[in-house]
Amino acid sequence: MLNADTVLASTHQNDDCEAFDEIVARYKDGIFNYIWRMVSNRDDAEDLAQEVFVRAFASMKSFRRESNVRTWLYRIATNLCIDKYRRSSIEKQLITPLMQSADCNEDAKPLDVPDTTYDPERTYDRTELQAEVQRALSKLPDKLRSVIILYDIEGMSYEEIAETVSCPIGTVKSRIFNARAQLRKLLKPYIEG
Amino acid sequence: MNCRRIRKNIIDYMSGTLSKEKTERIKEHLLSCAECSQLIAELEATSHLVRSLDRAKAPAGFESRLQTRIAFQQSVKTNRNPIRRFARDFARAFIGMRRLSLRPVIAGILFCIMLGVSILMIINNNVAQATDQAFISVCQEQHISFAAANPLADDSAVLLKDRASDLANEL
Repeated sequence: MLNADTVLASTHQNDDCEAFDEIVARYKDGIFNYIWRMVSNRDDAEDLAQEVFVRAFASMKSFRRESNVRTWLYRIATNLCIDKYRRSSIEKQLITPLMQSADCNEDAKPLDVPDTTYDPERTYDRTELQAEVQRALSKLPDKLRSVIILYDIEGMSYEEIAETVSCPIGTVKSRIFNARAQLRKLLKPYIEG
Repeated sequence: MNCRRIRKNIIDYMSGTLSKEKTERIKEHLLSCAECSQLIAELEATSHLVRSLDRAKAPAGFESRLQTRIAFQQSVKTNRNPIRRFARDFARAFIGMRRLSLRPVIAGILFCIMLGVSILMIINNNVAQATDQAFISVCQEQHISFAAANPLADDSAVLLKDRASDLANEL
């Protein structure tokens, strides 16, 4: 598929750094937003977003003309986020036993305390609600989280998501359904009707 | 259409990509099934919550920091390899290339080395031939002069003269 983006990419292959700057200008907000929703941390999001463009710049020569620049950049971002998630999971596994052993002398409290302060009558303002949704998103498995963010927030089509996460369209649809079903349970108190 | 089939098509139904016929059948089912109807309503509300999240913009100075990072990584990458650095400087100075691929440079260097080795081998062969020829001539002259000085010794000098010319031909 040839479009403006592939032309931009091929221009870059002819050593035109201005074309790359244009790609950055066009996608930096989308990539940053996507990564921010994936990792739930602004500093990490900026670092990873920059890494996406660094890798894109380095591998621009091997970029296939028929590919879509957008899905290509989001694919790099997805892989980086999953790597980051895995690394932080390993770190968490290493740190948590230490925390548990430090707390063992105190009252035996579960680490994950359920929120008993929820009051259905309380009106959540927009910021609080957004924080709750973000928290729910961060609890999803990374494969479901990436797909639901790409579909509902980035507005990608099934085909684009399939290309981005390298799986069949049917898998994309089932992941969207599973992600929504899990979010529905996590956000039950905030869903009207 | 039963509840199981509804759930299979629920995403397409919600995104409006389902065929008209299937959409009508699902709508019919939803009128009579409170459970599926509630499920769809809740999934739509969930989707609405996710879609209502604010879109963040990249922080100010993102592009300038990115340019610095790319420049730094490129300098690290280039300085790590002295051959690449030499080739880059060479290409910039003589060819005018801004970005350099090492492959043609390596191929060129290998070609030059092979050409040099071939030329050296040819020169060496010619020198060896000339040295052999000179040695044979000296031996021949010595034998002839010996035979002339000692006519009663033997006639091997004459035979050697012929042998020397044979050897020269072989060479």
